[in-house]
Amino acid sequence: MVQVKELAILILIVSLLIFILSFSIIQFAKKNRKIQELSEQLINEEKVKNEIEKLEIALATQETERSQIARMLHDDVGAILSLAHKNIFFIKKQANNGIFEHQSIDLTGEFIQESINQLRRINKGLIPHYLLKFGLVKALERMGKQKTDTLVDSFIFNAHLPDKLILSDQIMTQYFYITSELITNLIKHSYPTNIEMNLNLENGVLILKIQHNGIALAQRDFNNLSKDSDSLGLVNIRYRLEVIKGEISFFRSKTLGFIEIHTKLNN
Amino acid sequence: MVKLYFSFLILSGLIPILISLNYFRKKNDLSILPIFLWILIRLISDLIVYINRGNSSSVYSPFIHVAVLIESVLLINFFLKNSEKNKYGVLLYIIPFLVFIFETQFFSSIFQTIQIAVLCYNSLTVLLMLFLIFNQNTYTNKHISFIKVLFLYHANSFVYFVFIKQLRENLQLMQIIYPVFLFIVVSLNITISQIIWSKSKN
Repeated sequence: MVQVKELAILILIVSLLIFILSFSIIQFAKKNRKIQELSEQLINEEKVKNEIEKLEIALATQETERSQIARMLHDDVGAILSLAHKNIFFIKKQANNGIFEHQSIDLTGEFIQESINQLRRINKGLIPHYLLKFGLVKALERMGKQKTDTLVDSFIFNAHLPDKLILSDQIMTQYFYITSELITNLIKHSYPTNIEMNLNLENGVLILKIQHNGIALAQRDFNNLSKDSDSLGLVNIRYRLEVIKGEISFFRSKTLGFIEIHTKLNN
Repeated sequence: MVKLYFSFLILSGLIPILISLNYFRKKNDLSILPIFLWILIRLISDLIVYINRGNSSSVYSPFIHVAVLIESVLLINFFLKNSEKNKYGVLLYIIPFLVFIFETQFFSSIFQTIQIAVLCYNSLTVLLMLFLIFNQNTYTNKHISFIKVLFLYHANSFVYFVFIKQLRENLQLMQIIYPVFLFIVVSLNITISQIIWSKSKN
């Protein structure tokens, strides 16, 4: 009887311990879940905060650029055009009196020419200085190196373009900005450690290939993203490609991602 | 006394059955079907044991062997329905069948008291429910209450079945332990009834 009681007590104690242990496990899982939820909430809040900061910076930059352009247009072009307008008014007044102001017409022509020159200068001011001075190859290499400097292990850039090839400002600018946006997106979202960029001319088609070992998009992903997303960067890429009648392709292998931009160049 | 215990056991088993039937009548939701069938199988096996209580255990043992096998399959099905899709998940169904064949053919016989299969069934259920409890994606699952209850019950009944041989051989020991086990079973039935009842109310 004593043995039976001892065994019974043993079974009951083990049962009780198992019950306490199981109950504790459930409580632990519950708390663990709560901690996870709180962490996710904090991460999301931080993300939203960062996005707002980025947006504020982008808006401030846009405002500064707009102010600069407005100031240049007002001070340089606007002033000259108002002088040209006054001259035309004066010529018209003199013409009504039967006087032909040949000198004023020449002067107005000069004013208009000057305003055209000013507009070109402003336009050029909007294009990166380095791109204009050293061309697309050097500008892409420099931009790629600057952007990937401490963020990826290796950045390789190769260009095989004929020496005689002259690219229009339009092509250079759009290629530069599209590539810049793609590299930024790669670093932000794909976390690559190696990026290789190749610029070639094949049968009159300018081809820029970006190869990386980060998280890669397929063409369908890009199409969906650019359709559904309201990201300014993707909208800009599509717009710039339309301007130069270019195309972008995304594909991926097991370990690598590839992005290719190509445009048929005019003779 | 035995009659009283069995009455408690069967009556408490009937409550979740009736509430489940009411739930199926009210809501067009079969997601709790594995749980319902599991309770039903348990109730039927309890009834078989009750009816044959005067006979030797070899009369009702085959039913118990098959009942434990079906219970295992049902709870694996419940686990797979509530876990993330995994193409190897169906392989879990092999375990109870292997254990059933091993115990009935090699270790003992279908006419002898079940031992290995019931321990495997309890430990497997504890592991599967523990996996669901700790899985972040299934924690918010609508059946989390069932999962917790099944985990608690099987963890405790495991202890009972570890000592089942000693309990069956010693009536005095059984008289002390069985009311505690009965209390656990009745609590399980009432908790499951309450969960299904609150689901049918929502």
